[in-house]
Amino acid sequence: MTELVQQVVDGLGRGSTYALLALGLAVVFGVLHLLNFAHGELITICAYVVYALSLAGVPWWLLAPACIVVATLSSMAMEAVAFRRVRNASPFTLLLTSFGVAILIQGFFQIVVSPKPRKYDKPSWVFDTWTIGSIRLEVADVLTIAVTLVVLAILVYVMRRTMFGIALRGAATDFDATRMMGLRANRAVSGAFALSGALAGVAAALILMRRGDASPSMGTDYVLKAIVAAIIGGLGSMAGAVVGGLVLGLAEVAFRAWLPDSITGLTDGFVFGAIAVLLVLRPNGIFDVRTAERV
Amino acid sequence: MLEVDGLSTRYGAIAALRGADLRVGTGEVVALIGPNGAGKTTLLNTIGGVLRPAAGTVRVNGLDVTRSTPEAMVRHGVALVPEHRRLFRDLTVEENLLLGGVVVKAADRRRRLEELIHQFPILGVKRHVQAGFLSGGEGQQLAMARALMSDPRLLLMDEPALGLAPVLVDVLMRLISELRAGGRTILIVEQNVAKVLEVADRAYVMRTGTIVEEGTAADLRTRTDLFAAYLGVA
Amino acid sequence: MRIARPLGGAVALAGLVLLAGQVYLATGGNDALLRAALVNVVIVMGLQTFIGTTGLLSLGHVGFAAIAGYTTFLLAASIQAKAITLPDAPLGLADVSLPPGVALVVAVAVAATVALVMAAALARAPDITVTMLTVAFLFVVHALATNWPELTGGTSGLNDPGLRLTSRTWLYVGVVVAVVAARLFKASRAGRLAIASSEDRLATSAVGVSVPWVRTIALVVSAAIVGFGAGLRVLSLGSINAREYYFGFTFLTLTMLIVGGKRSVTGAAVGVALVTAVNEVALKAAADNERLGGLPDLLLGAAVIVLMVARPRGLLGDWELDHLLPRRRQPPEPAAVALESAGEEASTIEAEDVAVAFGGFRALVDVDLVARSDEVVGLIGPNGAGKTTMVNVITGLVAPDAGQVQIDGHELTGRTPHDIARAGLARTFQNLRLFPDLTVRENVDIAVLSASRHRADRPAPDVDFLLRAAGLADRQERRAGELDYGSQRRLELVRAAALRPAFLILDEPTSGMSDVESAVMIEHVRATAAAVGAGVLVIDHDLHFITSICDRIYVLDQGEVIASGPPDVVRHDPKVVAAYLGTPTT
Repeated sequence: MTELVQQVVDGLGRGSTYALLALGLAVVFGVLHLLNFAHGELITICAYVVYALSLAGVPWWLLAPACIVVATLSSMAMEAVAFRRVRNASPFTLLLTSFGVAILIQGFFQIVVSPKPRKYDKPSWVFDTWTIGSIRLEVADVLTIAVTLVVLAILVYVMRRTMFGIALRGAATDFDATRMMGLRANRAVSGAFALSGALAGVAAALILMRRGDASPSMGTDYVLKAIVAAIIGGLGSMAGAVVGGLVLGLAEVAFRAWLPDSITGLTDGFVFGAIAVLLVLRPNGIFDVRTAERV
Repeated sequence: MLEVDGLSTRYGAIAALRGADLRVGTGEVVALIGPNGAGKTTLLNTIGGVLRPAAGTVRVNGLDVTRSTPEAMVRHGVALVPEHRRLFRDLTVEENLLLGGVVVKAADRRRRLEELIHQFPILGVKRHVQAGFLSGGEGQQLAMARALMSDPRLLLMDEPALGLAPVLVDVLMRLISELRAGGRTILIVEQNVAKVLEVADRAYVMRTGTIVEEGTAADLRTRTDLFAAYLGVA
Repeated sequence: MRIARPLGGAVALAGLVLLAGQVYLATGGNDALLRAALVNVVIVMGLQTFIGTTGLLSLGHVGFAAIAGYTTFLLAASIQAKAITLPDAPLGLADVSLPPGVALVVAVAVAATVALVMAAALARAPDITVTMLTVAFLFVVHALATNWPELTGGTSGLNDPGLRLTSRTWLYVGVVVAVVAARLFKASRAGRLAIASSEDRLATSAVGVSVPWVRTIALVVSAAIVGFGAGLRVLSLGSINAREYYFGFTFLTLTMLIVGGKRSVTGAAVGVALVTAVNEVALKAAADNERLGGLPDLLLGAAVIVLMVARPRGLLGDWELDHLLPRRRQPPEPAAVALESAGEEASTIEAEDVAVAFGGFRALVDVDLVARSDEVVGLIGPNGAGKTTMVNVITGLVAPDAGQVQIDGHELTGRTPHDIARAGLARTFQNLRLFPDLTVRENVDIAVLSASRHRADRPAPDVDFLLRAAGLADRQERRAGELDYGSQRRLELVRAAALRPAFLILDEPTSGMSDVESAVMIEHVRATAAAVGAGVLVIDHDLHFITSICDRIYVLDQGEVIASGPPDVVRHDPKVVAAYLGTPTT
């Protein structure tokens, strides 16, 4: 029982960061139908910023907001520089463009910093544990889950109660119709990337405080997990992204716990295999957001 | 209010609109009638900025707004109730209305919302219902109210009666009469010729991408032979 | 299949690749780099056969490469080498050592088999899900490769210097085989149908082609070529490591494919050459500076972005080297023989009690409709009456909530659109669905290919005659998307007629046309239907058009049939007049 609770908390902790990243993908996908492979590079960019600032002695309580600001601005910059120019192109072109952006940023950090990982000091307190009865919880997990809950609450408020959120939801249902209402297309798209970036910034802060190094290609793993989470949930569905992220996190922990020790390295393989099976059974994800094609 | 001269629009190889001229005066309700595929929707969408014309000009109160984006047209005081309504299905009635007023100052937006709910009481009842769950008639009222949120000087309506039961078409026409009585300028595309001519002041008859007739609604009502010939029914 | 030109072009292209390789060596080039480039030509040819034809983005083909690479190594490495690196290899693999050629063949077969299993999963999936499934596949393969050291050597990989091919001959042979295979696949029946499906999936089903099946064939062929390339890579290097078969390699090969143009085999070869050259220059610049190792990535990333913005179809588009070869004039066809439809029983479509609701909106309410293949039946009604929905039910695009549709007593309800097309129902679409990047002739040929297999019992119409009648005979090599609107409409009709249908089902064939164009279209519909001996079911909103062409008319309003019968009766029916003109408020 105790172990189960700990496993669940561990899974939710992982799943929370996936959910935040998947939400960012869903926001952009909803508006542009772009599956942004370069979303993971936002974490990479934050990692190098954390590395540089922590060398300069900046404390963690400042690094976390710095991550959010940097990721938001970087996300908007990606849109302005690359994606705006292919906005009405086919999904194939959009996807490849984002792949290009990702590789370009990876090459950039290899050249400007180093192909090798750069280490920075992790805050030691995140690895402390709290003991409640017989259950031991890691601060990092609890903090991740708590921050994610707060962010989700803010997000729900923004999406439901602010004009910005209503406009984004409208744009995800029918982008052209929002323009007929007078919403400026560039602003809507830019806003979607800003929100997507801000969510990635929160995820980055949570990931980086326990990771301890920055490397040029670190974003790939995260973005793949996030894409899988977004797809499990049904691309473009925000509720789906959250559920998908949590399912993915819990599945990872479950496989790690149940697989024999000799093959725990295969966890990712099993998780992705399971997800492939899910996609075969439900090609449009758990929350089907498919819309009928007019003929 | 609205002056359209020599407006032409193409979809790739299709010349959907060929040199249309049209005037709408302030406070007028003008109908565009004609068979399907005659270019009525194309004309309306080109005026509304949704389609880019190949030639011609569109002026609103003397200002040249040709080739404006749809969002800019709303700021010029022209709002479109598009074909098939294009409601935001996942958003509530209230949210649809708020989004319709995205160009309005935040302080005025709530006030407009309450005014329109007063004018369309059913929307008040269904305020927190998702637009996808509205019936056809309710949906049409929401589409109109949503366009009115920006307090447009000119309202463009595309086939508002589409898919409505006959009794609801009558309700719709009454609403249009009320808007007209309230001094609203309207350009409306409608297939239900007899009904729309009851509420319109003037009408243009279109066929194969051009305007072939124009006249007062009263005149055209007595000349059902004319558009019967165009529509092909005896 | 006319293969002389593509074959000639492919051989010439392969020759150019080999020539470029020899010139590069003669000018002091690097052997290892040349080998890598030759292997990449083979692998990118494999990518082209899937991505370039189906238009689906696969990020998982490197997974097939890894599977074939490991298979090659495990079968071909010497027993001594395995005794050191893989003492615990399962399945008795430690004691196997096959000749490299045999190992390569087995590896290709294994990759193709895995692709067949994958195809079962992704052939029917939406495009974006296909991409995701390929990502998941690559992930699974990579996880296995790095975490199964007994079989793969884990992260340290496998090495057998004795395996290394000393001569480049095998690589050259491989290039020739792969280029020829890719070019011939593109020209083959399956390849052409796959390209059609990438242009318009719905239109492809509507001419009787099973898109999942075509995708399956393309995937298997492409995995085989990729596997072949990976096997050659292992034999060329004498080693394999999982990290060489992951996203880095995926992105490299994908860039090579799209730089030249994913639709072009020639472009794929050009892309390999260009990217290899850029990479080499970048690596040379980086030789003294470890940091500049990122230069290739930076350049590749920038190149992809610029290309996607400026030229998303790649440098060559769908151009091939063989387009330079002279086209052999086809012998004059024998004079058109009028189709003998006499003696054949007329077919009948019967729809009974068809009902469809979208959400709460009742689109069709208990509609009955009968059409015979020796008559022209019209379906009219105001906008939103349910006409297109009815046609979509008949052709299998919309499943009815109730009721059924039969042709000559055979149930059509619940069958796939391509199955229904094979049963003899050929349709056109309200908003035109041609294959815009294919030529006029190719558009029709797609239907001819389908008909020759699935409608073989019916006499083949004379396509040249149909094209001439449509006024398209002198524009056969133009891309369909470049035609004027009226010609596009007529081409869509010819394509439907080439399917040897029992019925032509036309959704608003005159929409967007002027009176003059409509009159031409009416003639064309009559002539085409007569030429192929098909019945016509035509939707239109225009009573002029319908009255001048139809034997019988059904009038739909608000999803219900409100009148039916001969045109002259129907057009005077008060209910019809009211539906069209509206009734004054009472």
